[in-house]
Amino acid sequence: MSKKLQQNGLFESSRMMLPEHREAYILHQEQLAPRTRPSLDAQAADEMSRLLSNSMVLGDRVTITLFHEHDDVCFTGRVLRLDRPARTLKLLTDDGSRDLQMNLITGVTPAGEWMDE
Amino acid sequence: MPRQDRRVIMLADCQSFYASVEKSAHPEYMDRPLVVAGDPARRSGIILAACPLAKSYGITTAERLGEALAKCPDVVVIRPRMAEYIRVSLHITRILQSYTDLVEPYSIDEQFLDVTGSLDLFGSPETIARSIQSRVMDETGVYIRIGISDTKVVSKMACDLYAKKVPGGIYTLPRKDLPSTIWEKPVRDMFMVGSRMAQHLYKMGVHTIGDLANTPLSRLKERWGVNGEVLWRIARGMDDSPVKPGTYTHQQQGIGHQMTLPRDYETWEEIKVVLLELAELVSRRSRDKSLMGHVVSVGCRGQDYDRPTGFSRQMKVNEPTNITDEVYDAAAALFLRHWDGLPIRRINVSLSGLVPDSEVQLSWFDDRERKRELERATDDIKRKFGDTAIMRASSLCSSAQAQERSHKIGGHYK
Repeated sequence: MSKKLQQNGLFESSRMMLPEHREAYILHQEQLAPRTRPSLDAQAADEMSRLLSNSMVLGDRVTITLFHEHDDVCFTGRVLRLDRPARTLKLLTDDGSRDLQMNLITGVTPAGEWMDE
Repeated sequence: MPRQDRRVIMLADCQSFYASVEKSAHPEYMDRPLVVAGDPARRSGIILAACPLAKSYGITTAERLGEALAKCPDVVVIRPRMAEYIRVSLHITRILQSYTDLVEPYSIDEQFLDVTGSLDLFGSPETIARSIQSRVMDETGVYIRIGISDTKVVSKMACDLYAKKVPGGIYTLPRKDLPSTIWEKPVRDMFMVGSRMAQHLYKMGVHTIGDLANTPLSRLKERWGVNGEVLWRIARGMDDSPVKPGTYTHQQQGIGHQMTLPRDYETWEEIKVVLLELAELVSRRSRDKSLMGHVVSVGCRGQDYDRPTGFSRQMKVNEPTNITDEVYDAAAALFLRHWDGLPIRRINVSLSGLVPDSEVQLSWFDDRERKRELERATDDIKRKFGDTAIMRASSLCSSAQAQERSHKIGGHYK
């Protein structure tokens, strides 16, 4: 049977979509799809631990990336303490302190000095 | 609440879309007739959209700006902003997606949605339609009309033939009512029937959509094959097409670009310039998507669409590629082999047989890696500073289109 009589064939063969519109739509749909949390590479995890410890002990500012279904969230500040039982860490940011869930952390990078006062 | 055993499908259509977007962007023109015209500087530019007020002067879409000005000398003429229209269209998609995840754009100003599973949450189909209509008006200033039925084809016709004409802009057309509604209408008004098809049907004695629905299927199939069956099914409202949000994502089989030239190109000297520009566009898009192709196609057409000339041919290249020079070489070889020397007005290049570019065969004795590096650099420059920040010297020739094209989407100004 012809494609036109099956599935969405009639509409797929007759629609008028600008290529730019199609691309923008595909991008929009990709952002809607929930993502899955990446698993961490052991070396990357070591490096992240080092940066977090440095931040807690020496007061370096770090930017922490947290996984979120639709878009990652980043927070910048100093690590105040680690709450092992709750698996969270307390981060002092410019707008106060917040608790971040350890298992959602997917990236830690040093936040350059220029952000510091 | 009783379980829904029929689908509830809507087609939402934007009234005078481009013109409505411009009117809400320019409130000072609210009470004035306004048109969006391809090229406002030229009277030969085409009217792309006219607001209802402009239409009341007799201005129609697709006529020349000169004719429109003759009908209404003080009409406001606006240059199109295609990127903005795409943005607003996606904004409307987002609004529709807050009622159901089953939304499928059919064109820049028409979108299908299936709300069967949303009735318990948001109320009756008419309630949902009214709510969508007022939200789209509040957030974008665009007036949408909504046709409602249980199939896509009937909701499309409910919208085109009724919702656009009734006050309120919403019309429900149950399939059982077809004989007393669209079957009375001339066959020319049916979805998928153009003026030529209508003429053929008239000659067969088919005048109304009802006549078509009651013509034996075998007669239509004999004459037009599968297209005959498509028409017969539409006339009867038979359609099980799903509303398919993923319809655009999975089906990329090829990457292609085409250009309509500003005049007839008659010599290879002129043609090869645009052929290279097309090869560059196609290759660059493939590189952006991390794809390579091993089939290159070229097509061209003459200016007279009633007496078609031109060809469309393809060939396989040795290794999958997304390098501009390689795509161009293949396209040029194909073109020269098949071109009959007649002037051309439209030309296209595409790359298919796509594979991911992560697996490239290492070759020791050519400069592919250098070319790849070079193009990575030029792509980055274009991404950062715009498409015309760096280009081939040949794009400065008089027959080149790259500069002009970089200002446009779908042949109209961005």
